[in-house]
Amino acid sequence: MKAIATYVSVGLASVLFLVSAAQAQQTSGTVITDIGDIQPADPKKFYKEPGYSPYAGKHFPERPLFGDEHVHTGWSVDAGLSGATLTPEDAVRFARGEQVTSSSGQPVRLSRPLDWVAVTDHSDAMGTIAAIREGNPEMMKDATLKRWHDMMATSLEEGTKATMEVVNAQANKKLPPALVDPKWARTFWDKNIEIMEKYNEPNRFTAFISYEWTSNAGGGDNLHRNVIYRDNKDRAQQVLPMTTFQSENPEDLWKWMADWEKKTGGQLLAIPHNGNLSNGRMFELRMFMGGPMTKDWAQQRQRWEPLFEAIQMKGQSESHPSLSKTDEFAVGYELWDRGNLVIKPKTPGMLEHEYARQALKDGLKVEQDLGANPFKFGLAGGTDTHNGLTAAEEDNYFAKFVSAEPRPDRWNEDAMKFGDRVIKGWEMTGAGYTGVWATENTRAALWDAMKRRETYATSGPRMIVRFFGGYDFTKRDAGLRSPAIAGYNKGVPMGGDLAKAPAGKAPTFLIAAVKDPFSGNLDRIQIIKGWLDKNGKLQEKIFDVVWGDADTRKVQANGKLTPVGNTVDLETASWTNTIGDPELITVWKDPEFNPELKAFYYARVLEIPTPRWTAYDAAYFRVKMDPKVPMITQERAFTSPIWYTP
Amino acid sequence: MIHRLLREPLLHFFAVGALLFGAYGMLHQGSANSPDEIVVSRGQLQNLRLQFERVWQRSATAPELQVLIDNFVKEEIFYREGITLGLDRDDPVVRRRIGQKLEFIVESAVPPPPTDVDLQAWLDSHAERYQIEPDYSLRQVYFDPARHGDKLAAEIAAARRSLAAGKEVTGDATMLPPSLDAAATEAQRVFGNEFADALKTLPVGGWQGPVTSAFGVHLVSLTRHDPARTATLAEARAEVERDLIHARLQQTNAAFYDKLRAKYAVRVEGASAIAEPAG
Repeated sequence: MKAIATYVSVGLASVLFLVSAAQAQQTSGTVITDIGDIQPADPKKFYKEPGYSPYAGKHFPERPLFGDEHVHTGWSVDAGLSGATLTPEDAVRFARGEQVTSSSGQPVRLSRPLDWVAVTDHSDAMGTIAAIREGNPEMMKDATLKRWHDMMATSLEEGTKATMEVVNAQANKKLPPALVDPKWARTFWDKNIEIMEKYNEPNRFTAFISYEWTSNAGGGDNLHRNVIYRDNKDRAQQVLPMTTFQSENPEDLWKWMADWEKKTGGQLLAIPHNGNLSNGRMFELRMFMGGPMTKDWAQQRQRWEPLFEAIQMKGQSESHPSLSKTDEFAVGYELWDRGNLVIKPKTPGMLEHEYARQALKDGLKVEQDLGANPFKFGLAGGTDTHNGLTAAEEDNYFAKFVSAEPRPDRWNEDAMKFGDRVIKGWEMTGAGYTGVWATENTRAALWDAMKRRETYATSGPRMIVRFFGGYDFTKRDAGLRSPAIAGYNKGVPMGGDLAKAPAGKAPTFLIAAVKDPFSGNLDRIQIIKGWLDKNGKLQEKIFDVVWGDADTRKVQANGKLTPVGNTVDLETASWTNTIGDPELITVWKDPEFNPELKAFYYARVLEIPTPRWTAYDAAYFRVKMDPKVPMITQERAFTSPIWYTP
Repeated sequence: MIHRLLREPLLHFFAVGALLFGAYGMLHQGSANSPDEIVVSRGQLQNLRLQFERVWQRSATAPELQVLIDNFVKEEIFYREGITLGLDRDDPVVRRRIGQKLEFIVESAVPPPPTDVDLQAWLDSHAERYQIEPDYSLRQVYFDPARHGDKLAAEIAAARRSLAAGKEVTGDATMLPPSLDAAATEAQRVFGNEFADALKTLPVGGWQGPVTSAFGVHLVSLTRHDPARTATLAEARAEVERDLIHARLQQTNAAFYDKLRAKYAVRVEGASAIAEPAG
């Protein structure tokens, strides 16, 4: 019995210690630095280096760093319940390129390591377990701790006194060393942080501290946000993650983020995802509680949510064919458009507020009306895996849930089922990753690049995509094949802003892509332009700007480019890189530019057709799938936009 | 006696129960006396306040505190009634959560830090994990087969002669780097598997090739090839230590489970019916 009492009281001490740590922070005279309003440095100023040598003082990002900003492990309640046993530690080891055994017992490894990962277990119910700390006799060797323990064991009054002593000792930095030891302060959150600290290796692999705030407004309207920390343990552990037990309102999340920054001096950003499952709420043109948008609200949203996850295992949210009627590459491409997260059917008018492209357009209109653009976001891609495996590759697809890890029948089973409303296994998407143009592989540098939106989403392959806007790019810049040097010297990268055009000039774009050496050749690069016309109407247009096999493929009379062809052999789930090009580069000038109109431009890179994960399944398991199951895909990347704001 | 008891897994198990429910009882001291009475003790009140502060980073106002208390009371009533009805039993969330908490307790028994001898032994027995990969310095001239058609071989041969004569040859325009100073995985990331494999056996010095990559073909001049080798403990200490502790933790967990498992006789009804047919 004595032993049990020790457990209990030490457990209690841990709780009190945890809660007191936060309070002590407020009383210990820490200098609070509010750096929330500092804008990222103007990239032009940052990169421009006069002088002969184009390489001298070269500070620009040299290669994109690929990672997954959306990973769940067995620590997420829904993942754990559905059989995921892998921990955040397993997930990070996997992302770093190690072989692990999946929850269903299958060995699995990535084709090559990722550069970074953000494990984003749901904050809801990730909750504290500090109350059940082990009653380690070691602790009782410390006289102070022994005394506190005894006080707590005596009565609650004495226990409260002991608590205050702990608070004071913390404030005065006089806590017994044994208590400061991290092993006494482990909640799931603390333990998660510990794991990320252990595997985070600057300049080799970045493991972000992060979590998902999972707001399902109205019971299933997906308003989820991944919260990414720029900082390390010392700041992250000061405050517990926000949960939806406190609030489902994104405005409260922003408030929480603002308070966090003020308190710790650190920085946070949030990445919303699955607009496609929000039943019209992700980009609704009003505030969460129903009031009309205000300028302050729009500014807040832009500040806290610089990126949007446009593709993941539950489909893409870049564009919908019913909204972008001329976009042949949106048709049938990874659409989960029947309902919300619980497949509650959509009603007319919902689709208009779910997809990135439409939201980017709406943002221009809101900016016109209110003076601030709430939807000025760049693009990211993640997996949203719920088995700890960031396996977004078509030929290595371990799916979202443990139940859908490789098995002959997974294509035909129900991936999600609510009553008679079903999403079939084959509808799951093999996607995606985020390419980040960071100057180095550290939390701070990657986060800074995310904050300035210098990112792009991919459906899984790791193609290199450069996209710059300016007024002085010429064909010669494309000929040099060093797009970064001309790009940063003469323009702004993806995610940036173009100021009002000089008289008589139109925006020019330097755009380049190099294929993923593990994946298909490139079909084409498109620039997607959205603008607010002079009648206040929102418009969009897609331009094919450069394409593979250019000697034989032309724009036809109907304005469409000749299709690139198809080499996929479904029997063996293979293809050949005999069509398309390994790299594409061009300079494009907007032929329809009106300097008075607000606009944005982003690039979409398409690969040649390659086998979809379903085709690899069919070939490997020798199963025949229903003819409606797509077997071929065109992998793609979409960049953050560049905005023109006169 | 106490020490032996502390190591007893079953006791740990009871301790978890005691903590989950016992700690609860402690915080509601007094309430245990009368089953229909709920006392929100000062300690509990303080706890609610502090929890609020830890999340919201400010003190709760009086109305907010009242909401916290109301919620707490409601939760407590539902909790008690639920427990009375046995709703905690066979609940997958509760089962999983309790199990996870127990795992955490086991893991928190931090083993003593490994000694250098331990680390060296681990490194020696897992040398393949701590390979420092080959490192290269190379220059490459790229040819896109699509731009040369039938003349590809002849034009590569001509380029090779020029290079051998010390002349500059630019090859086809490309965004691929003309030179690379990097480890094998970086070469693989940039040029693909086939090219990286070819580097392993390419002689150092002179212009070699053509070497095929995911992009086309290349003439390659390798000026440095540091072969793969096993890292020394000094080079890989952090990684070795992390892996060894990780492995030991897994062993501890497995041993703990084995010990618990030995206490139970498990009988699966109709076990023969679920066994997969052989073959």
